[in-house]
Amino acid sequence: MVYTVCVRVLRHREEAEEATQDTFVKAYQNLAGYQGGAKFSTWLYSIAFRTAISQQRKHRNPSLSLEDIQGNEHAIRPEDPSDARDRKVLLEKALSALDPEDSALMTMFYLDELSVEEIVTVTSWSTSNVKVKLHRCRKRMFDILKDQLKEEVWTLNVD
Amino acid sequence: MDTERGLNQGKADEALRSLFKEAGHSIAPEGMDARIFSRIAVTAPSGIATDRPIIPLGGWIGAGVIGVALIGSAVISPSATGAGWASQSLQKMPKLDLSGILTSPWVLAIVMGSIGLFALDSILSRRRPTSVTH
Repeated sequence: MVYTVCVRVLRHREEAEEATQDTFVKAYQNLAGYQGGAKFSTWLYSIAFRTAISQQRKHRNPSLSLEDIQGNEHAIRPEDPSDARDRKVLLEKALSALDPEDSALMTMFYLDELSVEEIVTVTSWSTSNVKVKLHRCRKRMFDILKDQLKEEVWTLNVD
Repeated sequence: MDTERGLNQGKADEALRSLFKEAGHSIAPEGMDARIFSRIAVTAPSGIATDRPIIPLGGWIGAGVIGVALIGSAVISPSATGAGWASQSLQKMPKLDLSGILTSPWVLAIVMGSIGLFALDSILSRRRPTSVTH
């Protein structure tokens, strides 16, 4: 999950690897600073997020091709999104349309199911800011996905 | 509203969560763990503070010896009477008859009432619906 956050923010495979390594080294060095007030995963997430943001500002490389995300393993066929891999590509495409931080925010909320309060801890944004960003990003993603996934996305089974 | 095809936020959340779950996490490349461990190995030790115990080992041993000595002096007889000061002191204390208390109707009513309330609480908590997350 640390790597996922780094990939979302940095949108560059090698830089995400570097940020992931830095995250764990920083966590190891600052283990004494973990007070137990939040979950350990949330604490680790906050280090990963800050490290990735810091690295992003250093490199300023927000561009990531879909091929880079997918490892060039599958061609994009938005006209046939019935395959799970195609839906994954479309999801990545929708996420790449968001700001890198917002992309990480959506991943934290929907994939890792962090609560708004935990996201506030990770990002140091205000609660209202997190809620507004979630609302806007959700709407933005729907705008992107609605035509390509048509009705299919709404009929997916929810675990 | 239009862009969300009339879906409410709960359904929108479910659909997006389903998509995210299906896509899963990005998979870290091979050897990432080894690279992290090799970097940690050459990193300065973490600043984990190992606080000194409030009571050192010698203190615990001393307290144990004193405790054993007190128990011994209370139990073992120092005199010819055959009883230590603990049993001598117990003999001097007034005797309390508890048989009347245990058969009191008030005590029985309190016990029965408590059992009844615990049973009621247990039944109600079983029938309580589980919370539904969005």
